[in-house]
Parts: sequence; structure tokens; C-alpha cells
Amino acid sequence: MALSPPRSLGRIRSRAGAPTSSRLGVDWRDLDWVMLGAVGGIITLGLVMVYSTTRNLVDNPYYFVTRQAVALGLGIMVFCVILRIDYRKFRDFSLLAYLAVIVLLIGVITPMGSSAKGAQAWYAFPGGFQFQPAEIAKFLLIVALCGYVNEHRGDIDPWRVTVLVGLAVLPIGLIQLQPDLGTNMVLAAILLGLLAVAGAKGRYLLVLLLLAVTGVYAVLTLGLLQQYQIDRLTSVINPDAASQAAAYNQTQSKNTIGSGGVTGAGLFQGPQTRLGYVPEQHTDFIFTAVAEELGFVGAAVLLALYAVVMWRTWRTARLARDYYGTLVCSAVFAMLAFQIFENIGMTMAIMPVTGIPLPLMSYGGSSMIATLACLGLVANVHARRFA
Amino acid sequence: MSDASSRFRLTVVGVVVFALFSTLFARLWFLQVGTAEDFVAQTEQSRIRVVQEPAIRGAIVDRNGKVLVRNTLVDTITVDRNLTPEERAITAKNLARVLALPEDVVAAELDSPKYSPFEPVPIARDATYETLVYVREHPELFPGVSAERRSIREYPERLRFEDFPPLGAHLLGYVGLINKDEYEIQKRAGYSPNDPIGKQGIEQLFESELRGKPRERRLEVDSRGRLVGVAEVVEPVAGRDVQLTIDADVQRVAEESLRDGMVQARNYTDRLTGERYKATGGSVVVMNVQNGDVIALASAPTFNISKFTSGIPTQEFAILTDPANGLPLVNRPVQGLYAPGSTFKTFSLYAALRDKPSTEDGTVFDENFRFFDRGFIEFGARGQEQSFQNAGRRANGSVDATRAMTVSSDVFWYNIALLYWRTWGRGEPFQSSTNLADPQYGIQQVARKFGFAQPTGIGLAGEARGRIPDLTFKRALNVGNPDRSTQIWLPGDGMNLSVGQGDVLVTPLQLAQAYGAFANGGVIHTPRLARAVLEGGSTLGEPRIVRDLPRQPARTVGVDPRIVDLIMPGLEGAVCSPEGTANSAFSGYPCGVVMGKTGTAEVLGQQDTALFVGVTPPRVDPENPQPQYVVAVVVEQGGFGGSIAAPIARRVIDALLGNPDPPRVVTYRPDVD
Repeated sequence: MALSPPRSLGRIRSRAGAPTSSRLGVDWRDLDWVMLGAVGGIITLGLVMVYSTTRNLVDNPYYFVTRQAVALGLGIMVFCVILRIDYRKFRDFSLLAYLAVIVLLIGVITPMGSSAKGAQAWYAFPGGFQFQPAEIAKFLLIVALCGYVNEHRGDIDPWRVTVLVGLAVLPIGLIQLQPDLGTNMVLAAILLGLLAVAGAKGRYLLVLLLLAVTGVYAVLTLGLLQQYQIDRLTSVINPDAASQAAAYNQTQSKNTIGSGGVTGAGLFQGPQTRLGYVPEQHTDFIFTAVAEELGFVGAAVLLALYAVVMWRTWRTARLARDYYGTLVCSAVFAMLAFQIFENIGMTMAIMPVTGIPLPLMSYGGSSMIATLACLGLVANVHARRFA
Repeated sequence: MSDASSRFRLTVVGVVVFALFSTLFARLWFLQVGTAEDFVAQTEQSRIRVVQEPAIRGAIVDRNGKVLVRNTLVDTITVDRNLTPEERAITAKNLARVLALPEDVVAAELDSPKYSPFEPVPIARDATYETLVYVREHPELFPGVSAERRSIREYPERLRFEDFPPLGAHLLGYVGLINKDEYEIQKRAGYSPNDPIGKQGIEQLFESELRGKPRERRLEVDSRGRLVGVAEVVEPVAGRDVQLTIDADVQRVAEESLRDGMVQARNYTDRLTGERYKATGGSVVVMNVQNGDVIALASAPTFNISKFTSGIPTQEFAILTDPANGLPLVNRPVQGLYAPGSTFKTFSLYAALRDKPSTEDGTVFDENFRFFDRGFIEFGARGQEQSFQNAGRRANGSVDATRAMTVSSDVFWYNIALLYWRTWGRGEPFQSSTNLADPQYGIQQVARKFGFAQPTGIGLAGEARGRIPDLTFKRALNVGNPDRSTQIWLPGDGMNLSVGQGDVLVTPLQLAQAYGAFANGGVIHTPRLARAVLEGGSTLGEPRIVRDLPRQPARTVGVDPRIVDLIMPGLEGAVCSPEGTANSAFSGYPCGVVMGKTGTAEVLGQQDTALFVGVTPPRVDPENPQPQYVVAVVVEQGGFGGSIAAPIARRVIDALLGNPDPPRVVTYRPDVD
């Protein structure tokens, strides 16, 4: 297959001069400032909403927001480090990244890991900090799978598809032992997006989809899931059925969003948020706080910011200088798209309830760092689109 | 970047994601812009708890403004609900000690779901001053305990006999905590599960006026039910006062006379059984004949409603509902059903004078009809004659309608029934006819016309309908009975009916209403209990009428004044003729002041019911109008109407005629009916 020459959708700028000596290792003018602006806006709003939803949870109203800010600092550092390394070098670390994923995921289900809320999913560190390997697995698996696909460019035959699926199924199985259904669905979305862009034939995708459906059916019926998980997943289909407790979350969430109206109750004024009527509001249901306190206007702006991030990621995938860059951006695109749609859709009762955080908004350090790492990859591809 | 294929695939993925985002946006629009109103209401419902405190309840006054029910403040000991388990244990133990209550009772009350979790729980509603002082001086023994002033019902008018029960217990009703059934019915009207509500009587009938609007605090609570703040306070509106048609003085005389007469009746011996009369219950109704205003409504035995104001203990309530104690809670004027006995004769005579049945030899029954009363009457086929007799088989000799009424000759009325049968009811198809319009059923027609067998519509709970027996009823009673005599209307049935015996059942109020219509020219007034609604708290100052309560509906039933004029002398004679059955009771009364009729009704398995219905004055001069009253007295298992019921009525009539405290009731040895 012949390579077509690079085609830019944006302004074509000449890069005749010597490479700049930015501390980030890239010319600052090559950075995607639109994307960075949107990400900055989401993160800022995220901190404000974490404060709004957590100030009444414990005695110190700044406890959660401080921890989130620390995680954000770490995330920005990770972002910068990833941006600094030419993304093409990541190709060489595909196998290492994959092995790291497996080791981390095996470790967490040994006594080294710690458990909370019925899932053994964390490494605990002194000082009360925790690290959730499943989140980092998203980033590492993107690096690993993209490396594999890149090597077999234009040759994604049934065998390669099988290998890819096998590569993904091993960490998915390990994560299911924690268990963490939400992250696994994200991993599946990444795999599917990658296969779609990489050129797997339509019928392979169809077969995979059938396998996935069979798999889900098996998981639901073979007792691999806890009852509460099944309840939550099915409550969106039939919220009035016996699983009242499961439907409660979603009903409260939906009502809270609806009660925001056009302009919202005002920042820090939302009664449902203030009085803690939405369970897990600072983590998975943080969108409800935005919708209640800032109303349709605020929630629509947030959706628009996410749309901008998605658009810029998609655009970077097209602008990428090489195939690996396109693959990486496509994988991140698929991941973000699924997480945003599933999370916000769940709060509005059009998707089942699963524990998936809203990227860049939800309280949780591992998710923040992993998301920023992935966006670092995209920014990296963007900044090096000419070189 | 890439080849055209990848570019195309990327575009497809982008379109899919764009569609997903559009879905999110559309859903957001639907929730927040399209249907936001519903969600606001739903979230508010889960977040706001409404706590009510009853408003000051309205007072109840009599027709002259005399206060029958008002409110008083009592010191109440309440306990905060937000106590630690240790504090709670200390409080429960010490409160149980000073209040002399079992500890588990106090503990159960502290956890009672009757009370809102945001309100202090009332433990003792009428604590003594000493207890209050002790509690205040030892806060360490009573964590979370405080004293509050609460308003409870108070009854300034008391009856002058043992236990001094409040006047008009059945009439007024009482106020208690709403029960489950009432709550289910009333919760839409804004009641809370621990609200007081009127039970029975005026308190129930005029609940919406008396209650006012409670103070309402809308509390905001968080997801764990903890109080966060007060969102809104709606100030209370005091309940309105209700002014009754009742005259407290007459009501007092009625209740005290009734009790007096019953006590005296128990001194006499029933000659049939040799036992003392039990006088288990009784009733007095006084009504203004001209407009239906109820002047007094007494039921005996009475009970002490003031015990209900702080919640009546279960064992005391059990005493009140025990049949062995005469069922004091039954409101006999409207719920009691009695055979009217001879008091019914007025209406059967009216029927006969209207329908004019005739004897076999063609003599028409009219005011000149005479009959020889041998003390009994026999009829039926030769060899199987049935005998109906007067009380004591007393022979009254030659009687016409007037004298028969005065001396209460049963045999005369038996003959009326026989005449009906001979004239219209003999043979088929007449005796199988269930059509009440047929002429043989003249007595039933007249009785229904005067309001029997239908509720008066007074509005008090549980009013009975009564019964005027007819062939339909008789057949319903004997469904499937092959004996043909149970399926046709027989002369004996009519004979029982004509003297108010057998299956006839009336309430005292119906009796009063019917005699009222007889005396006022044929107007059936629906009895009225209250005349006006007054501004709340107006008992404290100048009463201000918020609105007058309308007269209750009345219907004119078309009474022939000529027939009334024919019957009246007999009823006047019963009171003032020397041989009148109520003459002794009304000794000293000139003729023309009172007319009336005694009744002594036989009840299967019980002693006779004593009855008297009187009207004063019998006639009103249209040139010089004056109020006209009917007084109906019933004493269950009391003996003779003339000796037991009539003296009670006499004392009430004394009061109506201006003597507020007439001499005590004097009953007579029951040797005459």
C-alpha cells in the first residue's frame, strides 16, 4: 500500500529553522492550544465541582479538593514527561508496557493490593494515597496494542485479530478478578476502536461483537458478577423492577439533573448536591452537580468542552505524521468517547450504571493521571506532526 | 498520516462519536429544559419534611354564648429525640420514676413512630407542678427533657353527680390523636400522623372549622435524614368557634333528670320477673318544632370526655366499650333503636282517621266511632282464636278515639288494625301484596310520611335508620320458610304495628321529629345542631359571627289539620285528664300547656322500655307566636312510660318553660300504664 503524502487540515507552517530548545522538547507553537485550553477548562471546573460535592462530607471541606489538586500536579508532570519524549520511541517499549500491565494487575490481586467497596483494586501508599493500576492499564495497553498493530500495518488478518483480542483479554480477565467491570468496558472500547481504525474487516468486527455479547451474557448468567452489578446494569432497562436500591442512584441522579433547569441552582447552591442526595457524587456522578448547580447552560458548556477535546484528538489522529501516531490518537479517542458517553449517559439514565469516572472531572487521582498521560500522547503526536 | 482506508475509517468513527455526543446533548435538553418542573417537585419531595403544630382549636358555645368547650394550656414534659443511647437510657429511667410509669412504656413512647423524628416527644401531658420543678432542678437526671405549654380541651360545664362528667359528652365528642384509618382518609387535608382530630359529635362534625390551620414548618433534611435548616414557616390560623343550637341549661336539666329518673327507676320492681328495673340507658331529645333546632340531646349513661384530652388509657377505654356497663359511648338519641310502644298510636290513629276503614256491618271508623274495650280482643277461626290484650288486661269500657288515647287502650288500636284487614287486606291478592301504596298499608304509609324508617340527617356519626315493618321485610326475615303465614301480611302483624310493637324500631330523635311534624302542621325539619361559626377566640371577647349556618332542609309532608284536631284532645288528655297516663307526672299543669303520649314497649328478653313524647305548647297562636318544643324521653328497661319517662320529661319541660333549676324528678309507683 502506498503512503500518501501528509496532508494538513490546519495552517501549513514552514519549519525551516532549527528545532526549538523548549523545556518540553517541542516548539511551543506546535502545541495544540485549543485542546489544552479545553482540557484546562474542564480540569478547573472539575476542581470546583469536587469542592462543591465534598465540602460537607468530612470535617475539612478542602480535604478532597486538596488531594485532587495533588493528583492534578502529578498528572501535569506525567503529561509533560510524556510530551517531552518523542512518541515514536514508545513503540520500542510496547512489550515492556504490556508486561508492566500484567505485573501490576497480578500484584493488586495478591495481598499487596488493598480492597475497598468489595473490590481489590488499589495499591496503598503511606500518607493515605492510593494508586489504581487498572487506570494506568488503559494508558499502557494503548501503548502496547498500538505497537503491535503498527508492526502489522495493513495485515490485520484473522490471526492478528485473534492475537490482539488475546492480548486484551488477559488484562481484562485480571481486572475482572478485582472486579472492575467499568474499566474492562473501557478496555474493550479501546480495542474495538483500534481494530476499526486499523482496518480489521467488517465481519471480524461483527464476530467480535457477537463474541462480546455472548461474553456479557455468560458473565451475567454464570455468576461472575456480583448481584449488585447485575442490578445496576439492568436497572436502566427497567427502573421500576425489584432492584429498587439499584434504581435509586439513577433516579436521584436523573432528578437532580432535571431539577437544575436552564440556569441551575447556582454554584454551591444545589440542594441535592449540598445535602448529599446523589450517591458517589464526587466520583462517578459528578456531572449531576454541574447540571444541578450550573443548569443546562453550564452542563452544555461542559459537554461542548469535551466535544472540543474529542474533535482535537480526532483531528490529531488525521494530522499525525505517521501511522503509529494515528493509532495512538484513535485509541485515546475511543477511550475518551466511551468513558464520556457512558458516564454522562448513566447520570441521565440512558446508560446502565457502571463505575466509570468522568475523565478530568471525577475525583480520583489514578484516573486523572491516566487521562492526562493519554492526552500527553495526543499532544505529543500533535506537536511532532511536522517532524 | 495514512492511507485513504484509514482516513475513511477514522471518519466513520468520528461520525459515530459525534452522534453519541448529540444524543447526550439531546437528553440533557430533555431533562433540564423540557421536563425540569417535574424534577424540581420530585427532588423537593425527598428533601423537605413538613412538621405541623396544631393551631389553637376553636371553642364550642351554646346558643346563648355559654362556653361548653374551650382550651387550656398544660405543662407538658417532652423529650428531645436526638439523644445518645446513654442519655436516652438515663432519661427513660428517671422519667419513669417521677411519672410513676413503667420504664418500657416510656422507652416505647420515645421510639414511637407516631411522632415526627424532628419534634420532641410528649411524655406527660398534664404533669404536676412538683414534677416540673423537680425535672427542672435536676437537668443531669433528665438529658433532653424540657417542659412545654400545650393546649388541651377543657370543659367548664359539668354535671352535678359523681365524677362530674362534662355536659353533653356524646353531643360534643372528643379530640384524640388521629388513628390509622382516619389518617388514610384525612392525609390529603394536611393531617400528620400525630395530629389531634375531632372524634364523634360536634368535634368531628365541625372539625374543619374548629381545627384552623396548623403551624407548618418545612424542614430541609439531608440524605441521611439529618436536619439541616428550616426552609419555610407558615404561621398558624386559630380554629373558629362553633355556636350550637343547644341551650346549656336545658341540656343540663335533661342529662341530670335522665340520670335521676334512671336511678329512681331502679328502685321499682318489675312485676313480671320480680327483679328490680335495670334502667340500663336512656335518652332525652329536645327540639324546636318550628325550625328543627336541637335544644338538648342527652344520652345516658354518660362518660367523662375530659379523660380523653390527654389520651385515655386502654383499660379505661375498655370499660367504656364493655356492654356490661351499658355501652356509655353509644349516642342513644341517634344510635339507639327502640320499639316506640304506645307513642306510635298517634300515627296509627292518624292513618285510620285518614283512611276510614269500616266494620263488617258498614260502620265507618271516624271520630265518632266507639268501641267497647273488654281488656282483650280475640279473633281468628273458631277454636283457634288469638287474644291480644291491654297491659294488665285492664278493661276500659266504652272508648272513643280521644279517650282511648288518654287511657292508652291497646285494644282500641288492635281493632283499628283489624278494620284495615277486614276492609282492604282480607284474602288474595291483597294479603300477598308488597305494594305499600295499597290501602291495607295505611299505617306504614303514615309512619313513613312522618319520617320513620329513614335517618333524620342530623349529621352525627352512626345515625340509625329505624324500621317500619311491611310484607317485604317480613318475607326477607322468613326467606325459604314453607309456612304460608310467614309470607303474607296477617291481621296480627298490623295489630302489633298499630301499637308500636313487634318489629317497629325508631330512634328517639325520629320520635321527636315525627311529633314535631304532627304539631307544626306537617313540616319535617332536619335537626340542626349549630347556628353559627364565630371568629376564633371570640369566646374571650365580643363574639363576632363569621357566618350563620343555614337552616337544615325541611320538607312539608301534607298533614291534614282536621285529623290533627281530632287526635289532639286525646294527647292533651293523656297529660291533663285525671285518667291520663301521664297525669301524675304533670300534676299541677293546667290543661293546654302540654300534650303528649306515654309508651311502655315490650322487648323480647328485656324489661319494658319507658317512653314519653310531649309537645309544649300543643298549639301556637299565629297572632302571638312563641317557641314550640318537642321532648322525647326513652329509658331502656325502665318500666312504665307514665311513671318513669314522663316525670323526666316534665322536669325538662319545667326548664323549657323558664325554670332553670326545677325540683328533682319524682317518679311514681308503676301501677298504671
